Amino acid sequence: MSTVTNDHIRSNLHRELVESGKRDQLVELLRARLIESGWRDELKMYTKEKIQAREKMPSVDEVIREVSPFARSSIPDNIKAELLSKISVFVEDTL
Amino acid sequence: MSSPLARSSSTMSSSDIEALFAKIHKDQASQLELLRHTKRAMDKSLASKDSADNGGASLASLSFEILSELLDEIVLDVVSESHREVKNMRSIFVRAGLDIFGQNPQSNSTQAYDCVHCQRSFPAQRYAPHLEKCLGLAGRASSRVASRRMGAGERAGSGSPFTPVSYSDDREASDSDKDVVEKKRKKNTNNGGGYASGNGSASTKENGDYSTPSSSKSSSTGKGSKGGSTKLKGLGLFTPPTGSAPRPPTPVGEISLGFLDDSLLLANGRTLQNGGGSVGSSAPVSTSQKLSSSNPKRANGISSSGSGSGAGAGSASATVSVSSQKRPPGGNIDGDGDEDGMDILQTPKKKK
Repeated sequence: MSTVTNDHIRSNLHRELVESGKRDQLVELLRARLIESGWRDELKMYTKEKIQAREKMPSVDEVIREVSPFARSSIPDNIKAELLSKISVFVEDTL
Repeated sequence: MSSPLARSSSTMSSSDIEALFAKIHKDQASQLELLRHTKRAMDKSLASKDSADNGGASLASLSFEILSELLDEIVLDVVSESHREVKNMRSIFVRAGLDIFGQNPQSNSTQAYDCVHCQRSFPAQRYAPHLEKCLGLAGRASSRVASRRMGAGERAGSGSPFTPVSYSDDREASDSDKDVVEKKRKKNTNNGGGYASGNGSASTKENGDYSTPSSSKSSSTGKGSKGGSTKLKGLGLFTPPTGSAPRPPTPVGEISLGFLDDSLLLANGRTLQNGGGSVGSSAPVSTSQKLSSSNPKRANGISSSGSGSGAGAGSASATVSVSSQKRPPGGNIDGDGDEDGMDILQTPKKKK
């Protein structure tokens, strides 16, 4: 029961997000913030190092799986907080 | 309900004590209940967070999920880009301080050399330009500086071509031009001289003896200055000595023609006006007699009066010598003003 409603809620929310264009906005904002903070360059160097450490060429999926934990943990806190607040505002309005 | 505590205290009444304990008991019980309730709630929320199907219904969890989604997209971007880079251009990855080949960009193999002239130390790339300037071989300024350094006393004796004696200040020629002119000049005068080859190397400026480059060229310059008059007179820097064999090409003009005609007239002993026609006919004859270096073209120029300026000037030099030698005092030309073709020619040299 609750799962159904939950999924229902989630899909609704997602649809709202995309249709309103809010998702794209948020993505661009996040991308800009991460670039200017230098997070992107760091991540790039990290991925290249990881790729070159391997003998043969890994697939993109493998690389993603390998670097995601690092990526998530290395986000600066202020950016995380900013984005979270924006998203929660939107969610509150939608629901 | 009855506790050993109640029995020990004898001061208070039993009912009071019982009430007290009842109260305590109630409090604890309610606390317990509260805690249990909280535990249940927390368990519930914990369970809901753990399970993917249920999913957190809370605001925070939803927001966090959305953020993760956005982040995944960006991470995918970055990873695919760097993966592509590494795949295409293996090891484009650069560390700070190195170039793209991973090597130290600085080359540390620069040897310093000491100048033979001023004994200063220079790195290899700077040695040759410094030596040029040091010895005065590089340009106008450097040659001046270097010659000054080497001593003005030397200049009086040597008259080096590198030092600006007479004409480098006037002319804005570059070094190469000056050398070419000097070379030509020297060639004109020093045909048999041993400095023909020296002139050839003048532009490259090589001498066995670096310490005194000026002295080696002194003799050639001494000769050159005189012979140079042939080349440089055209520039108006030298006044042509009259009576010397090489004649400067005097500017073409009616003045020279005036010479021409007057001399002819005087030589003939008649005026042009009187024997206008006869002059035309006899002029060629007389001129060929009188003048040593006659030019048939000149006669034609005369007969055609004012239009023969081109031909006339060509032999003006010959005419000048004639006029200086053969002009008798007093002229027979009394200008009547009736000299149609002769007006312009006679204006400068009209003799009464």
